[in-house]
Amino acid sequence: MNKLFSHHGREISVLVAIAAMFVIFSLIDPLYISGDNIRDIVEHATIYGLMGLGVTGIIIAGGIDLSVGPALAFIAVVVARQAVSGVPPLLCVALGIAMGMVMGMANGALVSYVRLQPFIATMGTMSVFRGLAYLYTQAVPVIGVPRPYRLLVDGEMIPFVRASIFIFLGFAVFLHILLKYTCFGNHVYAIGGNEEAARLSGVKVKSTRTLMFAIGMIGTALAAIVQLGKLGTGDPTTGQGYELEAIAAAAIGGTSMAGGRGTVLGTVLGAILFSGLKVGLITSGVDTFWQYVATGTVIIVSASVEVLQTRLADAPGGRR
Amino acid sequence: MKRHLGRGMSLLAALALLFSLPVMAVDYGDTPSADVAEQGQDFYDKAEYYNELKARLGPIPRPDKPIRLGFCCKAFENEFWRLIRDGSEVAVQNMKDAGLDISIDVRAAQGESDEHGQLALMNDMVKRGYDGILTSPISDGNLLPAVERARANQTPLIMINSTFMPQIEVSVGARHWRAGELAAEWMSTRIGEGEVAIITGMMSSSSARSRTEGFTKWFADNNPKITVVDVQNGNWDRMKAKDVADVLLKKHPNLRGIYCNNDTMAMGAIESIKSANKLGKVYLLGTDGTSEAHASIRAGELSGTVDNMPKYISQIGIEMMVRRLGGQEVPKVIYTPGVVIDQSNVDDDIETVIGWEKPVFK
Repeated sequence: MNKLFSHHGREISVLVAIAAMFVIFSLIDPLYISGDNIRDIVEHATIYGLMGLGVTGIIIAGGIDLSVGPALAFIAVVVARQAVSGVPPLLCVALGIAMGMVMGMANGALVSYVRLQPFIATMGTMSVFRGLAYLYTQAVPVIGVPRPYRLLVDGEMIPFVRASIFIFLGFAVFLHILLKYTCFGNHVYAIGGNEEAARLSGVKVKSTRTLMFAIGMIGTALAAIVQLGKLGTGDPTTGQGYELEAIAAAAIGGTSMAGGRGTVLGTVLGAILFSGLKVGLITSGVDTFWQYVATGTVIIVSASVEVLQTRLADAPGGRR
Repeated sequence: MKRHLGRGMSLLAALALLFSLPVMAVDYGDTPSADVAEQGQDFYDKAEYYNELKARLGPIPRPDKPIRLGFCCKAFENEFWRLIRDGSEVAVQNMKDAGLDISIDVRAAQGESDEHGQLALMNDMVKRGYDGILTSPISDGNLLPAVERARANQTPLIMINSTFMPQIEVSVGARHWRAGELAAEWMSTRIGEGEVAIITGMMSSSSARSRTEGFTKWFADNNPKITVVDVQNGNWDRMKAKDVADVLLKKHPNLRGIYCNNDTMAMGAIESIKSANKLGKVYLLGTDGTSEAHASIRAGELSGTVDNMPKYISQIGIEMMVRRLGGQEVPKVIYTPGVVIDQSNVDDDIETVIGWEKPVFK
């Protein structure tokens, strides 16, 4: 038990927070624990969750990606245009993922090879991607995404469970295995923990980090693909401020902005907590202005828990 | 040590200058529309609706010299502002056809948060010495320095459908409160009684607030059998609006209608209504009248949209500018027509629906 807590303390505390949230919101309005509502919470979590997972990997590697919001918009409009023009749905999905990898690789290359600060590099591409989305569409939403595409990415695969949830979980499992059980994953943590030490011990810092940016952007590509399925419209103006929600999901889940620390499970739970909070604030009838305050407070409190736990864990047997 | 002190002093001086700038700008000259600011643009007692004003003023005086206009617009990423731009070009073309020597320079900022870029643009237009400048400031204050310069040059200014600024003499635009009322009226004739909800835009925006309040207040005054059971923020965002609508539909199983502060959000909410199989059971209204909304109305999904006729807002703005340059007095606040577009009139000629006529000169 002690071992479980010291290794997964962060995840457990987010779980406790989720449980507390469920109790509080259901006491205010029992609707909150209805099956339909829980389904909504999980479905709404897929978008920030997918983006947050990708960003988590990038942050662990000591980076940050601010360009994910506009990247989501750009990928969504390109995929939408292809789907509307009759490209088979699976091919559209593949195109979206490929676009994400190329865009992420561009970010990674700017950071690794041009040696820009990740914050600056992705702030630049943030504007570039937004511009590309406008140029590609002349800022007119791409409407009428065909049904087969929408069913593929957001249809009910089994009753009550949409394909998008499997996409979310699938990407989470993929990223978890990649970060936890592969050489690449170890290198990612090593780079974020101490770049110089990683380099000296023979980690190919530049290529590893570039690849992590590319893989991270797959999360955003999948979010774009799923959102397109949910909305049926590729909107070039979408994604404003989504980067902050993605980072918030990662932060709530215990990813350290300094790099080298964070888990996939944490971010999945963080996204669910974030989404549950948003839904709960609506069902419990909290005033819109107070919703901002509440959301911010949850981020601050959960970050403080992270700091506290790090201090405790710095005692012998600290976790990663 | 001395060098540091010197640097510190000059930094302090620079800071003092910087902080005194806004104060100096506000003190510069009078504020012509202070009374509008006091009463609120949507409730100004001397405001007039365009159609009535046009009847009162009669034909437009024909200007005796060439007219060069500038229009410092908001953001062409948004279809609404593109329609505003298109309208200004139509207006100028119509006037050219009527034999006027008139031209216009329409440009916009880089997105609806580019406050400084828009200020640079407005400054450029002031420096070019246009005969009149139309503008749609992004915020209450971002254009203030350029507006003060224009006033010092005695360049007439007209505000086009934007955040009100007392330093600009004339405001032309939709009455957002009325848009909310039109939506409420439509909802009332459709459902008669029951529960409705609102998905709002960013509440820092005055148009979102006015539309929301106009909608809510109309029921209180005219049909108390309809109650607004929830008001939630959709942040002008399609996905957020869908997420909010998902929850609203479950929280209020008897919901009969949803009003969205703009069409982008309505297009998100419609997806929620469709996936809950409540199409036709829950009426959904948007605001703006985008082409996407019109297409959705034709397809029988979106119930309707309060169309603020952006293409005509700018035409009216330019007409008012030409009237002013010709020496006519126009009111400080002019409301442009708005109308609910639904399946009954979506294919009608819009100019007939709002009773539009091309400008007539003396």
